[in-house]
Amino acid sequence: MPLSCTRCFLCKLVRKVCSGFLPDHMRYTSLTHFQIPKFSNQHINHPFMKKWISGTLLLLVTAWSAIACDVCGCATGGSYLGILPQYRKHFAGLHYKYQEFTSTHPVVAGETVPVQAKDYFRSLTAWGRFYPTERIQLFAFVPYHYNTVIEPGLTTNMSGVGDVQILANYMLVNNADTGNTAWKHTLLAGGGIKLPTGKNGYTNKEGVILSNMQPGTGSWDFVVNANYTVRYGKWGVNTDAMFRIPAVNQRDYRYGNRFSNGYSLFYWNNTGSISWLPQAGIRYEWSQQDLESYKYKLSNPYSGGYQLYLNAGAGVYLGPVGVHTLINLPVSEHYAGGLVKSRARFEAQIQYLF
Amino acid sequence: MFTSYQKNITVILLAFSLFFLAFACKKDKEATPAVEEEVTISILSPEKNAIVTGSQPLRIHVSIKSPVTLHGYTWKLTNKADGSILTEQESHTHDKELTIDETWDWATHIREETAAVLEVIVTIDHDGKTAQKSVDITFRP
Repeated sequence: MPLSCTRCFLCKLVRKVCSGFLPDHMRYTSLTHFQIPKFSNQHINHPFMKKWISGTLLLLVTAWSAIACDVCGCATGGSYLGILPQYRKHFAGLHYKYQEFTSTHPVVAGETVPVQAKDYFRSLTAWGRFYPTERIQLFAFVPYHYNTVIEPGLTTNMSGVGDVQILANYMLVNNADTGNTAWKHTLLAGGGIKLPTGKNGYTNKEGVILSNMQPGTGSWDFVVNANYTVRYGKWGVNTDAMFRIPAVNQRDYRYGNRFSNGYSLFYWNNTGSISWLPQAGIRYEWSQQDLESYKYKLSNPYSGGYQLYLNAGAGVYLGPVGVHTLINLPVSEHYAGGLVKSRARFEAQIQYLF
Repeated sequence: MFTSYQKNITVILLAFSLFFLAFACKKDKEATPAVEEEVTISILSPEKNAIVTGSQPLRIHVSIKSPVTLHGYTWKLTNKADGSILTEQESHTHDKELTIDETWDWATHIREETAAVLEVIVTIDHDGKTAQKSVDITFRP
């Protein structure tokens, strides 16, 4: 395919460099209301784009394969919304998260040295957004967890459908569609519940219930969240916050309150059939210490604390399909009194907008 | 008619009202006994003030019941005269019901009459909370 095609990124870049201006059709209108260009064979068949798309898919598949080995982990903050595409469309998608922790079990009766363990958390979440009215957005999350803890001489796997979560958010501010305002703001806020649909109470071979590894919390949780995006030109900043309040479950175990807050700087580029969105940011996650027994107020020392991550990633949108990857690196943390250390966290998701 | 701003404020206030309403209704606090008091340690053997004679090993048989998952136990025999530990065993195990059933060949260690105390200490959590029970016994070789 010659470089004379009119829609792809490379051709437009060449034209931009040569002519010194951007054609009108390359300008996007709003990040919160961005229109993903129509998919075109001309575009996809371009040699450069073929390589680019192949590379992206290869990267994703490679990452997925790497996840297939036992490296993964758990988060203090839990789920968050982050940068959301096209507020005026429904979407359905899959989100994969992988994280690894190392934990040190302190010396107790019968032991002379601390026991070291590695915890791997993997979750695949089917999620979607339904947009019933101008200002309301409903989200639903159905996760599947596959968690592994490796202790000396003992490996435990716990897997299953997790807790279903439903959120209802209200669009408080959205000036993305109003005239020629240079600064575009979008603010969503709302709340929801997490249902105790996931199993809680799995034991390892020694009969021990590892509360941090369970697919579900066994509790009803209440969630409040907000998501704000401000954009100027192609640059923008997104911040989100989520606070979760779990109730006590049937085992008298109470997971601690959880908070997650992230800031992302992004650059939105709408080029021909492809839109891409590199991003970098920071995320803070905090959780209150769990109570092993709510009745007797016995705390779980393997819980509670904070983690601070730096992250970077990119999203690619081809027609109605979006693919997004994100890597989080811990830069500061104090979790479970320093007994638990996190390693890099990887996230990938694919969405279909309609 | 409401303006957009008024609508937003109304929605925010309504959401906050519902949120705080949901957490405002709490049951009256009931007095909960300390968990240490709820842990039952039954020393079935040896019996209190038992005189241990002969050459048979001493059987230590203890039944432990708890309303919360326990994290392990320690049992030890201490010489009452000088405080020295005659023997000690520890175990890191997790359950609400634990059983200790072990023996100690005391005759190979004790050559003269010795007053001792058997102490069982149960680890309730990792913050140092424990429950314990003890019985006095006398070894008479």
